[in-house]
Amino acid sequence: MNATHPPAVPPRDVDRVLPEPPNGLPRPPGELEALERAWEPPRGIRFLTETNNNFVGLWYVATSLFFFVAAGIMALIIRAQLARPESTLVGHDTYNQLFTMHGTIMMFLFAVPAVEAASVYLLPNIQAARDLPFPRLSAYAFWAYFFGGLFFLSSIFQGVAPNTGWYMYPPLTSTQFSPGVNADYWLLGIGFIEISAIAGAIEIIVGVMKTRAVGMSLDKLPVYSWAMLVFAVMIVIGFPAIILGTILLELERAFDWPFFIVNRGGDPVLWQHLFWFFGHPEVYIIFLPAAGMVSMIVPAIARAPLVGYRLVILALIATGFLSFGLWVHHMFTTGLPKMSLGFFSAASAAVAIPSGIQVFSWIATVASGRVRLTTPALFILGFLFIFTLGGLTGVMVAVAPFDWVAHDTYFIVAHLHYVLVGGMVFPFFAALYYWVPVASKRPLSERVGRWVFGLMFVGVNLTFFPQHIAGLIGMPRRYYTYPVGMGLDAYNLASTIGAFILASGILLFFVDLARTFRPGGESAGNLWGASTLEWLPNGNYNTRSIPAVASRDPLWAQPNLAREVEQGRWYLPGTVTGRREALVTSPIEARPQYVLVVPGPGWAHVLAAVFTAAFFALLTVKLNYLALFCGVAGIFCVMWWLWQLDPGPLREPADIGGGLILPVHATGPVSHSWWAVIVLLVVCGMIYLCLVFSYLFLWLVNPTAWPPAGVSVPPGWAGMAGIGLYGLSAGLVWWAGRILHGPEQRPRAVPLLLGGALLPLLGAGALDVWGQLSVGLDPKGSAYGAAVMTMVSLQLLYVAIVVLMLGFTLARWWTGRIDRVRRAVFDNTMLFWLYSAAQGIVALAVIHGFPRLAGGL
Amino acid sequence: MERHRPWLRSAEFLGGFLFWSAQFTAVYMATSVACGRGLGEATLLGVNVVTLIVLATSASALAGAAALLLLALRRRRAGGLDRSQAFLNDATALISGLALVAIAYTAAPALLVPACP
Repeated sequence: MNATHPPAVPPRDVDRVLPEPPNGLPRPPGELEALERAWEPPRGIRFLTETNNNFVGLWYVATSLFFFVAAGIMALIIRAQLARPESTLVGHDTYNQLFTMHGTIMMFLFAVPAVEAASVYLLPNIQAARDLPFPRLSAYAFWAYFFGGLFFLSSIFQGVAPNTGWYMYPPLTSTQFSPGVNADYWLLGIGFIEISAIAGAIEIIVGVMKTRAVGMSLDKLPVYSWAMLVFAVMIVIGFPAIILGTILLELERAFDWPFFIVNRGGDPVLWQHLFWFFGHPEVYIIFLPAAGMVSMIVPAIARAPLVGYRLVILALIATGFLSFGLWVHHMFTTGLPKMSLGFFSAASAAVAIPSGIQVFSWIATVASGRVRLTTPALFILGFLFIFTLGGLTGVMVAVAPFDWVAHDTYFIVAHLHYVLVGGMVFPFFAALYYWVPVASKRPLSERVGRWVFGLMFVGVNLTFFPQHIAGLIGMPRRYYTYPVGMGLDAYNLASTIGAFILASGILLFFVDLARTFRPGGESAGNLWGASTLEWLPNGNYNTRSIPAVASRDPLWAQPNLAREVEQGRWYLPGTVTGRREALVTSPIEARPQYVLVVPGPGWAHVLAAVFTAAFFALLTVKLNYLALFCGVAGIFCVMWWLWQLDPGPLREPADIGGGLILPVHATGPVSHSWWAVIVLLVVCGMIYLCLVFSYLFLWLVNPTAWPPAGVSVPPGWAGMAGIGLYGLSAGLVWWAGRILHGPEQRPRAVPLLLGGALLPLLGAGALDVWGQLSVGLDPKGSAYGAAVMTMVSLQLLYVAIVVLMLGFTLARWWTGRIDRVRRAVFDNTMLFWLYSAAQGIVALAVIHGFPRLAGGL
Repeated sequence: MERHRPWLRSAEFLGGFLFWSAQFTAVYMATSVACGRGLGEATLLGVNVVTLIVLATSASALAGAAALLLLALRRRRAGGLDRSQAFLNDATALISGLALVAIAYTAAPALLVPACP
C-alpha cells in the first residue's frame, strides 16, 4: 500500500525556486525536549483540562459518533414501528418524540459537530500549525456540546423530548398546542449547540486565515482548508437566523409575546423564514466539509493531483453564496408570490452547477490516476453514487409544481436521506478510514472495512430507495402508522430490513474501531502515500518544525520535507518562550508575522462550559434562580479564563530559524484576537439584521396600520437624542483608542475617557426604554409591541455587556495589564463598544423612523 | 498584494456573488412588498412595475459582474502577476462568470411568471 515514488506534480503548480530549510544540523541539545515539555499533556484528572487539538479533536469526534449511534438507535425503533401496517410497537406520542429527536440529534449533535470536530483535529495538522489559535475556545465548545448534548438526550428517557418535528413549526410549537416543556427542551437545548458551533466557526476562520505553513498562500491552500473556511463563514451568516428564531419563539412561549400568533398581528410563516434561512444552508454546512475531505482523499487514492483546483475553489465559494438563496424552496406550499417562488426555484437549479463541478473534478482526478480500491475509495464511490441520486431528486423538488405534490411525503424523506447520508455520512466514514493512521498506531482493517462499506451501501439503498415510491404513492411523513391495503406494506418492510443491514455495517465499524484504534505515541504513518502535511511525522506538538511549502502537494513536490521537518531543520523547531506556541502568518501569502503564545490547559474554560450548559438546562426545567446562578458563574469563569490571556511580549523578538526574527506578541488588525472579534461582531450584526427583517416582515403582514391602533411611536426628539448619545459614546471610546496609540506608555486619559463614554451609552439606553414606557408599549398586545420590545431589550443586553467589558478592562488597567503595547483587551472592548453604539443607532432609526415613513402604507 | 487595501481586494474577489446577493435581496424584497401591499398589478409605460424593478436591478447586477470579469481578464492578458496574484485574479474571473449565470437565472422568472398569485 505504501508508495515509495511520489507522483509528479505539474511544474506550473510548483514554485520555480524550492525553499531551502533555514536550519542546519545538529540541532542544539535540549531543543526537542523543551518542545515536548511545553506540549506534554497534564496527568490524572487534570487531563480533562487539556486544550491540545490532538486530544480535544479526538474527544470531539468520539462524542459526535456517540450521538450518531444514539440517533441511529432511534431510527431503528422508528423503522421497527413502520415495518408492518397498524403496528402498536410504540405509541404515537413516543413515535413523535423519536422522529423529532432523531432529526434534531443527527443535524445538531452529530452532523455539524462531527465536521467541526474533525477540523479541530485535522486543520492544524493539514496546515502544519502547532494548534488552532484559540485552543481553549475549541475545548470550551467541546465541553459545552458534551454536557449540553447529554442533557438534551436525557429528555427522551424522561418522556418529555421535543415531539413536533426537528423544524419546530409554530403554531404547533406555541404554548396553546404544546403546553409542556418538550418544545423548551429543543429551543433552549439547542442554544448551547449554537454557541458551540459559532465558537468553532470563529476558531476555524482565524485558524485558516492566520495559522498556516510558511508560504502556504491561498493558491496553495489545501481544498479542505478552503472548504472549512466557507463552512465557517456560512455558520457565521446562517446560524444567527436560528438563534434569533429560537429567542423569539421562546419569548412567545415564556412571556406571551405574539410573534407567531395571527390574531395579534404575528405570523407563523416568519418562523419558517428564520428557520430555513439557517436550515437550508445547514445542508451545505454539512456537505462542504465532507466535499473538502473528498477532495483531499481522491488525489491520494488516485495518486494524482486534483484536477481543476481553481474550479473546485470556485464551486465551494459559489455553493456558500447560492445556498443562501434557496431557503424558500422548503416553503413552496406556503402561498408566497409566484415570482418569489421563481427566484428560489432558479437559485435551487443554479446551485447544482457548483456541485456538478466538484463531482466532475473528482471523476477527472480518478480518471487521470490509477485508483486503488481501498476502503476510503469504496466509500468515496458510494458517496458519488448516493449523493448524485440525492442531487437529482433535489433538482426535482426544486421545481415548484413537483414540490407541491411531493411535499411532506416520504419522497422528501428519501431525498433528504440520500443527500445527507450520501453527502456527509459516506465521506465521513471515508475520512475515518483515511485519517485514522494519522492518529492511531494501527490503521483500521481493510478486510473488515470492505464489509462495513458493503453492508452500509446495501443498507442505505434498501432503506431509502423504496421510500421514494412510498412517497409517490402518497405515504405522508411523520405518521406513526399506516393502514393495510394501501400498497405500502412491502416498501416499508424493505426499508426496515435495509435499516437493520445499515446498522449492522455501522456496528461492525465500531467493533473494528475498538479492536484497532490506539491513539498516542507514534502514528501508523503515511500509508496512502498522500501529499499533504498532516502526514508529516507528528507528536503532541504536531510537527517538529514548521515547513515552507512550494506547492499544493508539498510531500510530492518536496520529497525530503518529512525528514527535514522531523530533524527540526525548518521554522520554530523548538520553543522560544518555553511555552506552547504557534506561528501566525499573513492571510493571503502566509508570510510569518509573529509567534503566538497559545494558552494551555486550565479549568476556567471547562467550568465555563459546564455552567453554560447548566444555565440552558435549568432554564428548560424552569429552575430559573439556579439557572441565573449558573449564568453568573459561567460569566465569572469566562473572565477568569480571559484574565490569563494577553500576557504581552514575554521576551524580545526571537529568531525562529535562518535569521528570521519575529515578535512574540502583536495587537491591532494583524493579530488573531482582532480577527476573532471582527468575526464575532459579524455574528452579532447578522442576529440584528434578522431581527430587523422580522420587524419588517411583521409590518408587511399587518396591512392596516403600523403601529396598530391604540399604540403610538415615542416622540421624535427622544430618538434623535438617543442617536446623538450613542454617537458621543462611540466617539469618546474611539478617542481613547487613538490616545493609547500615542507615545505615552499608559496615558491617564484612557480610563477617564472610557468612564466618560459610559454615561452617554447608559443615557441612550435609558432614554430608549423611557420612550417606549411613556407611550405604554405592550409587548403582549401586538406583534408590533413584541418586535419593538425585543429590539429595545436586545440593545439593553448589549449595553450591559459593554458595562461588563468596561469593568474587566478597567480592572486590567489598574493592575497594570494594559498599556500601549499590551492592549488586546482594550481593543476588543473598543470594537464591541463601537459596534453596540452603531447597533443602537440603527435600532433607533428603525423604531422611530420606519413607522413615520411607512406606517401608513 | 495583501499590503494594499485587502478589504477592497476581498470585495473584488467575491464581487460577482456580492452583486448576485444584492440583486437577489432587492428583487425578493420588491416582490414581497409589492404583492403584500396590493401593488402587484401596477404598471409603468404599460409594463408591470415589479417586472421592471426586477429587470432593472438584474441589469445593474449583470453590468457589475461583467465589469469585474472584464477587469480580471484584462489583468490576465497584461501578465506580470505572481502565482498568488494570478490565482486570485483567475478566481475573481471565474466567480464573476458564474455569478453572471446565477444573476440571469434569478432574473428569468420576471419574464416568465406574473408577480403575484
